[in-house]
Amino acid sequence: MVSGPRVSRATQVVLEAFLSDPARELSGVQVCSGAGVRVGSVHPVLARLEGMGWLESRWEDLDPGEDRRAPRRYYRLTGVGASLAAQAAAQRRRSAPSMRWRPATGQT
Amino acid sequence: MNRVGRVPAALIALGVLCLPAAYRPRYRIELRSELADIPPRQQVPYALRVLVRSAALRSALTRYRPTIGETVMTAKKSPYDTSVLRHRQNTGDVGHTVLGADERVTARSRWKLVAFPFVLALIGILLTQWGPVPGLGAFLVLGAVAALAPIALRLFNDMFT
Repeated sequence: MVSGPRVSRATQVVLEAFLSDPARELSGVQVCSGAGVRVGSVHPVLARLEGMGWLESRWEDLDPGEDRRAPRRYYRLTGVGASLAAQAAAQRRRSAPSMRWRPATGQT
Repeated sequence: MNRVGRVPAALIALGVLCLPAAYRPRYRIELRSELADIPPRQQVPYALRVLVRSAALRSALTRYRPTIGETVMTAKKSPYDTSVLRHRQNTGDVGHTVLGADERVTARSRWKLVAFPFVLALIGILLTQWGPVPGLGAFLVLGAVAALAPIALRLFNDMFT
């Protein structure tokens, strides 16, 4: 069963970063740079979305003989997560109050 | 790839210590690899944010445990509450959840182990300052230092490996 997480502002921007290309894998730093979030603050959101089944993650494939660095962790939307995230984004757009600037007509 | 500074590495190690034991190896590697992707000037602010957000990450990990297609882990009463049974009914995955409950118990015990030396040190300092027998206070402080030494060694190890 996959249920919906609390969609906070941080969750929204993280989901939008993934929804721009649902098939793309992103590391935590790439999510931050793509979403305009400060680096280092997305891991609770990523962990929550992964726990809810919206995201899946894997270690980067490294050649242990050549690459002498720690492997990155890449996150990707699951199939269910992509559809639920798109639904959440659409719902948020519908529920957001529309702000339209109207020129003053001088009528009171 | 950038060189990882010692101070941000130590801050990351400290933040990882706040996480449940089962997740520490993963986040130790993940966060250090991200540290290497960041320019050196931004590494300390990054590590500080990770440290500050480690409580939120811990909360997310304990509440929403990554399992295969399963989300029901809302233990609030006791580590052995009915979420284990619900999880078993929903997925048939018994071992993972029972292990999860055990991990929660272990993590709580470790927090108590860390808290105990701090309380001991506090009592020791108070006794040293105002107590009738200063030697007893010093003895308690030394005991607390000895109890915290393994944690300090772990941090030191994380900084230089």
